[in-house]
Amino acid sequence: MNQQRRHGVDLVLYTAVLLLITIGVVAVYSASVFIADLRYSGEHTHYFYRQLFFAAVALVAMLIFAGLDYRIMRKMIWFAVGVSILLLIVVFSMSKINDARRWIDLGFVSLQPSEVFKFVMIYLAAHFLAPDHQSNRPKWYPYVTFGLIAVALMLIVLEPDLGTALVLAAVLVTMLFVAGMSWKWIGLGAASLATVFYVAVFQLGYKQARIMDFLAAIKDPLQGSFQVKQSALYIGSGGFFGKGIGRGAVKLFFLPEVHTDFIFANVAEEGGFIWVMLVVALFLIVFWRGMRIAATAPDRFGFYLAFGITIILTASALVNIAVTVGLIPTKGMPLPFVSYGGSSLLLCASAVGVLLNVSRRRNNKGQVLGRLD
Amino acid sequence: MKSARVSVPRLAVLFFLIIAGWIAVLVRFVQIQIVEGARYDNLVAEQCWGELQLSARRGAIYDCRNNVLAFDIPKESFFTYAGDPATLREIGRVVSKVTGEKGLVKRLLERPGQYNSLVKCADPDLASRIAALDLDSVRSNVEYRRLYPFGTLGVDYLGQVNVDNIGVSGLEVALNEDLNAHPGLAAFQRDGKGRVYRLSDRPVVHPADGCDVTLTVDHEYQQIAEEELREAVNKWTAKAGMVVLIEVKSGRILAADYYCPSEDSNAVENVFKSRLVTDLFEPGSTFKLVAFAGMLDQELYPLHATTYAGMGEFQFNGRTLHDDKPHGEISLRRAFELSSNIATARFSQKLAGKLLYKYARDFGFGQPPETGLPEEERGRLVKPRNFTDFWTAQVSIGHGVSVTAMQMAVAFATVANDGMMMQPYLVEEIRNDSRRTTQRSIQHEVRRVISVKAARVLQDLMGGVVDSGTAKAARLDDVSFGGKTGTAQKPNLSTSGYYQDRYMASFGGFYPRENPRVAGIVVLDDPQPVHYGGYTTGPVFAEIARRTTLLEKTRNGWIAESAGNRATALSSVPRQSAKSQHGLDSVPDFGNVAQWIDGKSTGKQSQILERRMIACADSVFAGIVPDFSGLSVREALSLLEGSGCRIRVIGNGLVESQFPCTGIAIADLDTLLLDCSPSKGGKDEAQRATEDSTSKGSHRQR
Repeated sequence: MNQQRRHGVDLVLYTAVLLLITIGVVAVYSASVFIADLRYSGEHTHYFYRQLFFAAVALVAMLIFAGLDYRIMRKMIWFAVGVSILLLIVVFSMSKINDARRWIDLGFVSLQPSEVFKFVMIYLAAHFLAPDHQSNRPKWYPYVTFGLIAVALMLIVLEPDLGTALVLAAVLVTMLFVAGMSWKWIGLGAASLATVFYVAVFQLGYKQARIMDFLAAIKDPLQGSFQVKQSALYIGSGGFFGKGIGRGAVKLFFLPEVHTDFIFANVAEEGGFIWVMLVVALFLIVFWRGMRIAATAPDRFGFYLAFGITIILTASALVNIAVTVGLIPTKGMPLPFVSYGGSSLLLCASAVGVLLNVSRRRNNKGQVLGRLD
Repeated sequence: MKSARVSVPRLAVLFFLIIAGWIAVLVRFVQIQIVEGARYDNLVAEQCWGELQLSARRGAIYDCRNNVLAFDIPKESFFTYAGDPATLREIGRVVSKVTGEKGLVKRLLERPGQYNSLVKCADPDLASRIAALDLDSVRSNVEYRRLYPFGTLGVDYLGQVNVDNIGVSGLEVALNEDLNAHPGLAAFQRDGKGRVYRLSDRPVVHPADGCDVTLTVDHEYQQIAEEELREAVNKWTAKAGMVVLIEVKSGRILAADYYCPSEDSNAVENVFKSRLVTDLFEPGSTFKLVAFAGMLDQELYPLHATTYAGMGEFQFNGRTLHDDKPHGEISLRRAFELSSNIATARFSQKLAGKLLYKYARDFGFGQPPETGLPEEERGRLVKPRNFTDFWTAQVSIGHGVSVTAMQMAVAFATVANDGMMMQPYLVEEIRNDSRRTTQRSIQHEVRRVISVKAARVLQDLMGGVVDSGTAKAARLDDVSFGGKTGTAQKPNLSTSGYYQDRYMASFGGFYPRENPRVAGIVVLDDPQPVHYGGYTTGPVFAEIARRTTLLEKTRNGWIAESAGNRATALSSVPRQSAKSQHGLDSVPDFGNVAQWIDGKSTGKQSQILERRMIACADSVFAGIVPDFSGLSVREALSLLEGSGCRIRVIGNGLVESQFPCTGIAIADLDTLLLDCSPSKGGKDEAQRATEDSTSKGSHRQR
């Protein structure tokens, strides 16, 4: 493996991510001016400077991970799983923000353990699915692996952060699906999921109002929940060319926390459909390059790792953007690279760093997919 | 999962699912941003754009000596656009603590996110207390409220404004187009918390103040006329009274008042009328002026021509005419002086109905006087198919016609102006908001009604009425005036006859006799127990003549010179005691006005004011800062005029305190601070002070 040729990093991916982070910094500034002014008594650049700092740290992290052999991490996988689950437990000692405990306050920055676990889970899944050690694995290996993942997801559900847990589960299923999970299991899983969903929502009424809002919003976003309605309104008002950077109105407290989960409403209002296409194109580039890196990964671990990272980045972006226009029920999930938030940005950039590292070790002649059987 | 293989078809399915997801999202963006973008933009505009009215001031109304009769003062109004129930609850809770409004929270929660008024036109004190709350979502703007510094003075022609500061009666409505403020508009952006941002790049319509109007009235004449009229109405327990004073040479209306003690002037049906041009009455003997003017102009009789007036009753074409007492054989002059109905009717026969009608029309009866007041009545002067002798007889003595007080006053002014009728007018000039005159009334000769010669003779006859006629009781030694009394039975509308015991007493006249300056009429509705015009209205006119004459002399500095005291020139002219009204007193000693006022003060507000003013003026004259407390700002300013010291006024209304206090030499003074506040309700002050106009229903406290 050491004889594998070294390549340069995937510059297209690197550029796309840099652009996304840059757009994020500008959007955070635009979206947070008023709320920062209000919360920090006139210090309107509060969030902007912090995001700038996070971006710098994230870039450094990205470069470190790009240089660090992605396989080294494999040796620390159980340690990482242990730490991330511990963090998910610690989060329950924190005070509630918006009726949920999702953040660990580290003083200068808040850490979201579910974000950490997102990437740890991908590592764990890739580690599990990579065939290298498969023969040596004891029988209980899958049970422990999926047992730990199940525990972590349960903890996330209890925070409560059902949305993130669902996305993680979906990503996991996707990885297993690609890895050749049998149709029997897929059918069984889908059926049980549908049953649970039906019973929970329509029989027990869990989050039924929210689901109903969502169903209404799919037809007409103005019939949706307050957040969806406001978000769609202001996105729509941006039109094709947008209102101009900094000239949007949604950030004037018409939608709470525009600079975090609903940052895309601000981007789409101020930049119009042009910027929507630009951002979507950048995420598609991330998706395309990510898949390409996965496909040319030197080994199966690299493939699953790259595939998982690409899927989770793309899925997060897709879900976040779909939420702003009412295509998916409202849920708190940041837009990768763009939303305000240190831990999200740091982890996403690190993940891209890993992707870049995989890309450096790509194997153009003998692709993973080609050698598969 | 033993042989974890990467399935390429599955990967492809996944790939296309994700691409499909992105396409779905983009389609949605096309839908809301491009297809429905305009609609969404409108909805957003509704949510976050608003227009703010920038208040402008309604024009002020001044009298001919630049005293403000009506003006606008700025008042702060507070409102919120907050939509968040928690914010609204907080605002309601805190603001209602200050304003005391119960149920404010409930009212606010009924219309979240819309314009919600918190306090309209707050007093400065309340405004500063609300501002001190420093509530994020509470905004304020300036609105103007109408104030009448002289209270009810001149209300009959000034009229009123409604809650929106739009005129509803009197000159306020007649001059609405000029007086009206033209508010500006500014676009603003709202935020989700209901706060408002002014944006510089949105067009602003600048507000324009209304035009200021100067009237012909003189507020001191007005005050004197009102005081005398009220005194007489109360003394004779009359139902109502009217007075109009007109400057003879120009036609300028100097004062006009309608007073009815039992009438609630705030009642809706009473608010919208200027009674002096809308209320009709049968004039009776004062209308004989017309017949005599006609006869003299046509030179039908010499003054010594006589006729037989019978023994107080006379059959005329089958109907009976009455005189108060038998006159027997009576000359034309005495017929006028003693106001003989029979003689006037008989003399008038030679004039014939057609000519009498012509003269009545020429004097302005049966047509609106066009003073500028709204809804003027024409009066009733019907041209009959045939002018019968009885018609002539009836009209010559002022029966069968109805007139307004304004029309009568104009007729007397015409005679006093040597037969030339001047257009009566109230509005002297109108100035736009940059103080440039846009409209100025010019004195306009309407027509020559009678010859100068006839007018002079008639003036002489009117002098005789006072000297030895029906108005003997009103005669004054110090002021010469002429006039004609009238005592008409009031028509009983239910029986179409006349009341036996209800009269309209009137006195029309002019003064001074030698060179008539002012003419006018005083009317009392049903004075009791005495109903003769010569006894009831005559003395009112006499007293007005005396006081205004004295006022003019004061203004011309005549008193000041003789008294050697500058201060007295500032005082207005007081009433004489009741006794002196009948001309029995000697001429007062003008040389010592202050003492004279002290001695005979009847406690009326104008006199208290005069004493305060004189005391202050004395002090200013001596070079010492006086105690201005209780005076209006205008009065204080007029006293300090020319003293060279700067004056800063805080608030409005009456001076409450000052800095520095009294006793310091004016020469040492740099700036004088006057702290003012609206009157707190003393009757005397209430009339003068700037009144708080936020009372229910009307803008004016009466």
